[in-house]
Amino acid sequence: MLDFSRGHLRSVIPVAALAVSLGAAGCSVDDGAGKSAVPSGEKITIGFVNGNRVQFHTCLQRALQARAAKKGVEVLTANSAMDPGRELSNIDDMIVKKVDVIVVQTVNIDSLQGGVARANRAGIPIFLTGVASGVDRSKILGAVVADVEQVGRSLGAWLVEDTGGRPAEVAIIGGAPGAAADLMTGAFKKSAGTRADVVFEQPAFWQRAKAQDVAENLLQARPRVRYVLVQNEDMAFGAEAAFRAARRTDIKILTNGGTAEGVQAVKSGRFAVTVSNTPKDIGEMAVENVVALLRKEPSAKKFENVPETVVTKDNADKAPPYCV
Amino acid sequence: MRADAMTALGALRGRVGVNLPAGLTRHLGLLAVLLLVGLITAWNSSAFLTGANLLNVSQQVAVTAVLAAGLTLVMTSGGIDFSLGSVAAVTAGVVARLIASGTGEWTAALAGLAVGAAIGFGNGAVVTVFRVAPFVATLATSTVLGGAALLIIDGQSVSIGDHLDELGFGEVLGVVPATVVVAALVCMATGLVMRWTAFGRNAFAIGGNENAARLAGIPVARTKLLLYTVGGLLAGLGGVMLVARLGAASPGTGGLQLELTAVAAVVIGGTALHGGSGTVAGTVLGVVLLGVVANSLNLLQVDAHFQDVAVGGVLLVAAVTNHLRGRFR
Repeated sequence: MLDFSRGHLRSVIPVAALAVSLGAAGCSVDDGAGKSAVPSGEKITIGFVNGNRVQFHTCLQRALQARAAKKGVEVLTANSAMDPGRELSNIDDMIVKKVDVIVVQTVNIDSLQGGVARANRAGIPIFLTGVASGVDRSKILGAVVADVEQVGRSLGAWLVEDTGGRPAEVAIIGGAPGAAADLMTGAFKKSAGTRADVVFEQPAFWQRAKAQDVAENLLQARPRVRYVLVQNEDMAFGAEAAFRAARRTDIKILTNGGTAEGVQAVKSGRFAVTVSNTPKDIGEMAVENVVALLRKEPSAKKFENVPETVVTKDNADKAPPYCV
Repeated sequence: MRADAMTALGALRGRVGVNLPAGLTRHLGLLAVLLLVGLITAWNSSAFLTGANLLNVSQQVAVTAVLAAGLTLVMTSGGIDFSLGSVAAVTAGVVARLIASGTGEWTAALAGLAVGAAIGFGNGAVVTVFRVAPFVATLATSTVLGGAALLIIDGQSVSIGDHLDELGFGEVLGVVPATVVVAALVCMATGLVMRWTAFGRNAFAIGGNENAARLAGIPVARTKLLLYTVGGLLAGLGGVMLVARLGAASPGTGGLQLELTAVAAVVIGGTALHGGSGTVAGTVLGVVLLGVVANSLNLLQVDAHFQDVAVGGVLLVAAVTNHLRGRFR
């Protein structure tokens, strides 16, 4: 795996600055969309800028590389390790390496605007995975996204079905406050309706240990809670450990992910329901769509949602695989 | 106004000073903030002052307390160890991997302790033999270990099933969580070592003035090496407790987050950053304060965006009040 340090950035900045000034002098800003198709005989190089090193990102990268190898596409990779500044320098590095397309699993969609602008100026198309909300869609080649609002809606609908419309106290253990977590929570509340009384809502910053603490505190603050939405499976395992220690196995856990461990937990009844939207699908679809878009194939899809499956005990055997 | 405050504080000290143990009178300011936070929370949430909730808080701070105890030792000698959180992450990863591959749970735990101690020894060696400033040396190892922890678990959660649950979920006398008992024993032992052993006094002397300590015949290098090793060993123990409590080694566990909490607790507890003074009692109060604040944020359902503001504010007030007494002395 390739990685680019800040030292590297220093050598890149003059080059990038030069590229920017040349672009400005020529007054020709190319957003990459107007480029002519890459002929099918020519090899495509994808520059993949990953956002983190946890399970989701590791699986995403593996899936992307595996599908690329199958299609004869070359992949260069870099990792931004949750640092938006490093993400920008990684994008700069990919521009210097003259890849055909930059695929970004962004650290923070709000701080990606600069990266999109730089790639546009260099005339290299940029493609997003995971999230693309808030980005000007005309500036990017396309995106494969996981619709977190759909996840919230599905879980809300499951809740309504499980309670049979009767009132119930519900708690939410969220990720970090911000776009994705808030979107999921909002959609969940709306879809669960007014009979579901959300009495507790606190962040656990996507950390399993923190989720365990928050769940313990939840039991103290709101002992009558019957349903808990935990926004990813790693945190859900932390919450489940807290409930088990307090012998509160009656609380139903609703979560999101679709990892092998998560699906297993649904099978054994530790989680009530999870929504599977896998990095394997995202990675594979990203390669397929990027290649199709670059070659201007008629089947090319600019924006696509990754398929989502609501996994309960009944269909857990048929849950899609999370990793390659 | 200030003179009034001074007399009031002096009078307060005169009145309660005789009744409280020395370790506590030193931290009256910190105790006051802790009580205040407790009162506000209890006023607004009936759940706060229940036995179950207080046991929860103690369980949530146990790992931090173990790390902070080790850090107090290192910091009294004028050193600092920024790698303890990452050591805990690495240890948790090693223990989980060993258990997942079929090693006996207690053997794996012992191996974890050994890994922690070995890393601590390495830190100590870099600091004493190569004379690298401890801040730089341990910041570097912290970065290395943070990456190593992810490599060990391959960026994924490694489950240990219900192994080690005597430690993670066990209770002593049917009520007190096992991790709390371990943390209490560690803190008491550290306190005794600092107060009553030549090793502990040597740490203070080195923190006060390293050259004077050397001239007085104190084995400075050996003591420092041992201090960092003990720090690493305790961080290893923290890692074992983490994995036992979580039931898995998971990315993002331990690391910088845990480290900063431990450093904050020690500093709020009145241990001098330049060494030469510090108490475990202060550190424990600092750890408990941080735990109570986190607990009350959840109980009072403080909006997520305000939580950092609240935590930072309490830290600031606690640090200031804890140093007031020193200024008025």
